Amino acid sequence: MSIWDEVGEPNIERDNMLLELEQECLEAYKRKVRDAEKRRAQLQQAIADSEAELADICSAMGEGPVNIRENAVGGLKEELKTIVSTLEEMQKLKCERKKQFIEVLDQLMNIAKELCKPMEDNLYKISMDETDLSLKRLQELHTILHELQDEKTNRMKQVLDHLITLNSLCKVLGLDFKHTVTEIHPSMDDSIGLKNLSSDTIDKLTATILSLREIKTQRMHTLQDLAAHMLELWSLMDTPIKEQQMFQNITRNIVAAEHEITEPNTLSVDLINYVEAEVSRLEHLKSSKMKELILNKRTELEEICSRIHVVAEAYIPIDHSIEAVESGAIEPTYLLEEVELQIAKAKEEGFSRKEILDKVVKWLAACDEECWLEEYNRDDNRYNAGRGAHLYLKRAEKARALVSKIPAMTEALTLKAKAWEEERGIEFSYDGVRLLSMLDNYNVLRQEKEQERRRQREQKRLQGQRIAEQEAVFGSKPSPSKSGKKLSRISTIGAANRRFSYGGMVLQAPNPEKAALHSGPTKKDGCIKQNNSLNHQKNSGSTGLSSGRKNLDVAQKPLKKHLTSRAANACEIESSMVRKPLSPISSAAAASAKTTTTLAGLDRTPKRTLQRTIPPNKTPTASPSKLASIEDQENNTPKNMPIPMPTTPSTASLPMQTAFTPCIPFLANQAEKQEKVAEYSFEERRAVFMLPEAYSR
Amino acid sequence: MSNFSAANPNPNKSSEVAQPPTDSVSSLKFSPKANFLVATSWDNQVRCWEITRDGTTMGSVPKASISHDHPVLCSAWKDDGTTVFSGGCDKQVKMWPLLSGGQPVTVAMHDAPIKEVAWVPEMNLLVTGSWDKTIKYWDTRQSNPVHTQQLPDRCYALTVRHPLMVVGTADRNLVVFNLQNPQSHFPENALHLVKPKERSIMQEHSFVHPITRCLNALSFPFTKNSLRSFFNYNAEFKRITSPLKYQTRCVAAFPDQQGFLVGSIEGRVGVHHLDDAQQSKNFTFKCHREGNEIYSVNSLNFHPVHHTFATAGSDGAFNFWDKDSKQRLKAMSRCSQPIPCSAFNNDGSIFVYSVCYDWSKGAENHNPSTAKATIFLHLPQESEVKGKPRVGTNRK
Repeated sequence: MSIWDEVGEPNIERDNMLLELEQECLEAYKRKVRDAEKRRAQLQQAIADSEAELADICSAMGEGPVNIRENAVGGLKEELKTIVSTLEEMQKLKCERKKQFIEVLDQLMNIAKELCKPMEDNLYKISMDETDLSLKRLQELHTILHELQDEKTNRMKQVLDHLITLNSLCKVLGLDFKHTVTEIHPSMDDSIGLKNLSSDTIDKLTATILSLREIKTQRMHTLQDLAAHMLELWSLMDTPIKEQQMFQNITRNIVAAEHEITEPNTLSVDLINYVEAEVSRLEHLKSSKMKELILNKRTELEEICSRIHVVAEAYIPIDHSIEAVESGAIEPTYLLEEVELQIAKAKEEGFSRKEILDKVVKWLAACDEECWLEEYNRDDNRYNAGRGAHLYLKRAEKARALVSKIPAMTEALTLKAKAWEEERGIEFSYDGVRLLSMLDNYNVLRQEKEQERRRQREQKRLQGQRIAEQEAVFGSKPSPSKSGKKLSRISTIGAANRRFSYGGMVLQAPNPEKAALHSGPTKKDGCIKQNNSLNHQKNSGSTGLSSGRKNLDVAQKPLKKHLTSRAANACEIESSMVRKPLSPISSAAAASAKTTTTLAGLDRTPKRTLQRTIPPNKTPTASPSKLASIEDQENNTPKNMPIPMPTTPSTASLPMQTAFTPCIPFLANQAEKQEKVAEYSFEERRAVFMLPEAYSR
Repeated sequence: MSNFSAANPNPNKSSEVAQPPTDSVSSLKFSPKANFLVATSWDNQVRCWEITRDGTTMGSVPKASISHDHPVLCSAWKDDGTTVFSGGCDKQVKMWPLLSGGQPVTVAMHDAPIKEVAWVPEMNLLVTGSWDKTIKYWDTRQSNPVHTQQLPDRCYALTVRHPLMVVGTADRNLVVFNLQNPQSHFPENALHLVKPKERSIMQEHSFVHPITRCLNALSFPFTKNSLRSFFNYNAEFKRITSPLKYQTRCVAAFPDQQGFLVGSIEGRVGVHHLDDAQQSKNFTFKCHREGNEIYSVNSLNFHPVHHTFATAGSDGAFNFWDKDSKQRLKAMSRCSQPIPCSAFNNDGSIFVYSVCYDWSKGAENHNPSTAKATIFLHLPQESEVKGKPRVGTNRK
């Protein structure tokens, strides 16, 4: 004002100025208010923003909205501050929640990937949703995660189970487990590493297991069939236990069910091949055995046929041979049955033929005797008093009696054979020849012989007339020829002896003696040397009978002769001892007695005293006195051999009352047997007494 | 002392076996593995006891029994001691797996009562001898015999020590078998099986005989057919008449298989060697006689260790003998009744014998009311069963 006074501003100016001032002031005020208002609005806006954000977060987190306005005492700024701090807190919380979500989702994704689960359809479930981070959602995700984890362990277990099953199957079947498994999925190979758990893999595993199981069942059936067959063959052929044991692990499983077969390699291809080979070997063996059996049966059939004198070919169909079996044309069992049938037939036939056959045998024997008799009759020297001549005489006597019966036998046989043929409508053949034709032939032959004999008699009569005429002219008679007769007779006897197995021993006894007589001189020399060295010197050349006969030393002759025979005798006994060490003393004694009697018949030299010194002894070199003592002992057997008392009478032992046992040959007791009635043991008597119905004879 | 009535039934103070059979005992057999005793009896039963020994006291515990339909005459143990075979008047042999507690099964059949049964461990076969005049060989898994061997008469006695088997029959026949494994000399013999025509074909085509081929290919000891052929061609070794003049009652093969003992009803035992060169060692001796009374020799048992032997007779006595020194080692006192059977256990430490009527004097001397069967156990002293060196050889 003063200034204005000083300046003297007009009042208008002054008023203007004041108005201006007033306006300017108002304006500044207004501006300030506006500013303040603006700030307030800004603050409010920030609060609202923060609140909105908070609300967002809260809603995302699924929490109830935070009410801050109520405690807003310190103005907007204060309010803002609180809100901001709350917001920050909430944001931190949200971050954490988010991290949790990410974690869970990561895990979920991993598992899903592992399980190869198609996640597209439920992707929303597991993708990150910023707006929904509520605990509920988290819970939900966790549940999904758990589910998946469960599924994973389940699958893991399943896969492992499958792998174990597969492993055992592979083992049993002899397959390579690793190879099988890597084919399904390479990750299966390593037992420690992470496995592929996709359902695809599991499906594949299941499929493999199923197919392997099928193979197993199939192989098991094959093997069981083979084993059953093998058992059959074993029992058929009596295979020893030792061999069977090699296959015991196979035959053991013959009735096992599929799941019971767990041992490694029990169903491998190798094993099956092995068993197959064994079965085919056994099969082969069986067929060869069958052949063997057939051969045996065939032999049996032939034996029967030969026994009943039927040609075996009549019974054996030609095409039914072993070759036919080998070529497979005929079943061996069929052939076996066939042969057995034939055997039965042949046996039956044998029964029906038996009666006639017995007669035929007798008849043939009689014919043999007739032949022998004819031969014997032809021997002009037959009545010479030779060794064993009385035996031939006896035989001839019997043979004559037999021959006289032949016509009747022939007649009877013819009748029988005819009856048989009529009854059966077939020919009765004997070794392939019809019996009736045999009999006819014989009759014809007999008639021819009869005629021949008549002719010879006539001739003889004529010859006798001629000789008588010659005698009348020359006054002499030719002597009957002697040559060659003796030898032929011996041979006949030898042949005859061969037919009689038992009687042969006695009859043959003279033969070795004869052989000894004709054998080289050295042996006899040896024997003679033991007895008379002087004699030996005089006979150093040949001591044969013929040379002896030529010897002019008449005084020496009888002695030498009997020495020779004695030596021969000793040799004979010795040889018999050597040949038959088991031959009984009694038979040896009989033989020696036989020899001495025949020798006596030959030499007609009394030599009783010397003969005593020829015991059946193995040591011809022993001195005569010793020989005599042994002979005495021999003559007295059997007898009780006195055995000295033991030197120690304190003990209870005593010597046995013993006797030496002469070995009695079998059949030696035949005569004795006939005297006795049938004997029975104590048990038999008791059995008959107690159980007459059970034990009837 | 011809009648037993006044005499002591147990003069030798032997231990008595508990719960004996109710009728006469027909056979006694010890297990080859343990002290199990089996007795067969005319009361149709087969009984088994376990025999225990504590010093000189003996104990017997009845273990088990089975029964036949008719009297049982014979028994045999399998070599492993698990199984007992028994046969008799029911004409069959039962196999009793008694160690496993199994039921008896019939494994052999004859047409007449079965008098003898023996197990041949070397061939895994059962041999049965019957009054139907056959012996049969059985594989116990099969119902048919592996082989049937005709005998000259009824089988009375049988002994086996592989490869020697001796069968005594009625009418004093003794049939000696050689059960030797025929493989070594078999193929030549097998040619006999083939008829000449086929034989020549075989030789022409260098055809191997099926049997030979089997044997070569398999190298197992016996096939059914090889066994059959073996029996046809190799089994019977020798047939002789008993060196004793009366009925054969029992036989026992030497432990060295060189010969056998034969006992007759006339109180005499023959010692017979198989080798021709040893015929001079054969002899017979008298036993089980009392003055003019002559009794049957019922049982012959070789001692398993010392190879001496025991005889038991109808006079009720049992004696121990040594055939090599020709001595009687011990004569035991006579019991009141006959001894029909006896046996040593597997180590020869126990001698078992039964005292009961053996029918040696027929039905008229049998009194069922007084007849009592007892089984006694005797512990032989070493001096009784161990042979002594030969004395007094100057005269032999």
